Amino acid sequence: MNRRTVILVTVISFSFLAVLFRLSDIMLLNHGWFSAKARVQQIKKEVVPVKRGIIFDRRGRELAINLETESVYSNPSEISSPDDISSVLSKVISQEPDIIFAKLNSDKKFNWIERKLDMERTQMIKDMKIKGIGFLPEMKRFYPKGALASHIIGFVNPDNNGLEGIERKYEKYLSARSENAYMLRDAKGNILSDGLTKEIKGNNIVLTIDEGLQYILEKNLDAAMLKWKAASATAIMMDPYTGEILAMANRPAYNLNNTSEADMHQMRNRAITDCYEPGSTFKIIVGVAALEEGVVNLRSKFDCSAGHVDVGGNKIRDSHRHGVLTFEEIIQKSSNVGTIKVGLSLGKSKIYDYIKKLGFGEKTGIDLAGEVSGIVRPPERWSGMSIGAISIGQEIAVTPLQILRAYSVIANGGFLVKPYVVSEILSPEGKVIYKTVAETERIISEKTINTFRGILKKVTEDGGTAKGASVAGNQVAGKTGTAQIIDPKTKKYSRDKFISSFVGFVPADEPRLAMIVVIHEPKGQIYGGVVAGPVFRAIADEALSYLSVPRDDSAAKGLLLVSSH
Amino acid sequence: MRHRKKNRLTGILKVLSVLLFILSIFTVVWLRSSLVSLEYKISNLEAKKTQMMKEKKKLAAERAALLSIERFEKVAAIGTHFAFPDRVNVAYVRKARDKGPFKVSLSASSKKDSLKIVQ
Repeated sequence: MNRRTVILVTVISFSFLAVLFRLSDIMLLNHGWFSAKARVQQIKKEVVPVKRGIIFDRRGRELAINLETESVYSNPSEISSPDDISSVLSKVISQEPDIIFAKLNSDKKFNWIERKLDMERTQMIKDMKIKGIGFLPEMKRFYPKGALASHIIGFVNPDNNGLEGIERKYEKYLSARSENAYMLRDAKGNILSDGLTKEIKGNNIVLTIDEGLQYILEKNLDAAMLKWKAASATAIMMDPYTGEILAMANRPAYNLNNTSEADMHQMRNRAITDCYEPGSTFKIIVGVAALEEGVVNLRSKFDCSAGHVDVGGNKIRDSHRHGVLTFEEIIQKSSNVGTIKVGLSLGKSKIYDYIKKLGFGEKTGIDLAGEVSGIVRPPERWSGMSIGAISIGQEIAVTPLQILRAYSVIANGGFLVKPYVVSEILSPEGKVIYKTVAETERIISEKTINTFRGILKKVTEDGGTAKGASVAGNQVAGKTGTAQIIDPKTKKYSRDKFISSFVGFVPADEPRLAMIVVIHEPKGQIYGGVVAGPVFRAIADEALSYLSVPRDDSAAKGLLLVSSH
Repeated sequence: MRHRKKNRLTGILKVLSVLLFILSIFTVVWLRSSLVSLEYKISNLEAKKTQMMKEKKKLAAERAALLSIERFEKVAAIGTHFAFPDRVNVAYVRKARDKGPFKVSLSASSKKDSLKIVQ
């Protein structure tokens, strides 16, 4: 071998030895350190966004869905000129340049610039290719019907945690535990996919609400608010046989897609969170109890000609003198004097028993957050006047839902139902994982119910207090209520603030729906039959049409009968 | 003579082994590069799919909002003067379970109050 060859072989040998040494270093001596470093560089960890379950109405219409959006963040250490970038970004996202500048100039390594941006604006920022600005996929809750059923559906916070309504009550079903996904990436950061896409979905929820009925209810409630310049209003529609809430609304309401502008006054679900003195709508408790206990019958007569009755040293009056009334007429004309006389003959213990039996003083158990139980004092804490006051719906606090449930007992033949708004929970694959079964319990005999139903029918006929609640073609059974509100300043009943209500069911003999309408502080008129009754009629008329309920006289007039099956 | 033949065969086998070794290395490299290239393609397709899914969801949201009964009524009332049917003028027909639906029309002889059923 000549000298040159020796040098070449030596160089190659040393080179190989160097490579071998380096390989040994990488693969044997410092394997752990290098492989960890490689993992950091090659494997990208991403949080897989959780897709909250969809909320459907009873006919499968979407009430709450998800939009795939991206959120923009910054890594201030990589930002070169925050001044320029903040002014450019402020043109795309609705934020002042100063605010963006502060986020770009902070000491943190991660700052949200704007969360859940729409696709167009995200793409505009992406096209700018700004170093230090990144994007993360996030799901945004979207409510396609806006303010419709806002108090039932509720809403979520920016991190998609339920804050109100169904979104809050059923959080653990709608949401799922977030997981990480690991993927390979090259030196430029491009992802090398293995073709396996990970998806995390929550369970879907089917409500008992019907979008059509909900819309009819809300539309007419809006009209009533406008007409009577009321402070607030509530209406609930329920299937009296099962307790399924078909529609529930309050006014004021709020847009679910813009909750930042809503206040607590608008967000409150008054149907279950607000108590009020029910007034005359509560007279049915004394009426049903008296019939069931055999204290009265339809022909029992009571002298109401004085126009007032003394109870516990206080005089309680009728709005006008009635004369001698039968038990049926007492309810039909809503006589305070007559009802109190019936209550006195029943006794406070029996009245209390029936108040409890009909579900007052305790939560109905509806699957919505924030329900209150109302206020019912035991007889030991009643004053001398209480038996009179409670008989006519004073000295007691109830929710609109409790009153509606009590009327449903008369509508369905004597059974107390448990109201609910979620009928099914479905897994992401569509499998039913929970189905609500209606809970009912007989509390009043059928005979009493049939008799009392007949009395409630008279309320909407000539001579009753709620002619305005009658529906063309179908008989309505119900009761009006006009309750005084206690003035918080004087602690006495206000002379000009009232709660007008009507609660009933239709068609009276085979009810398809039970409904309550409560209007707080109407201006111009105060009586339940004048203010709330017509709202009931307007809603019932459209709702019966929507549900294809035939008129009561269809068969009698020789018209063909309906069957939707 | 026999020894030379054996040497030649060994030589050929050696060359073939080397060729096979080189070929297998290139095959592995080629397979690996194809796999990476496929991963890039899948990744691109997934990005497109994600974008499409986003658009699909956005359109589904728009569709859900457009299909609201509130909007139907507004459009119907303004554009065509449609309204909820007056219940007094609606006749309901019982549909036979085993037959086709009945068609209901006003009878030619007495349009006033009778309905004629045509099957």
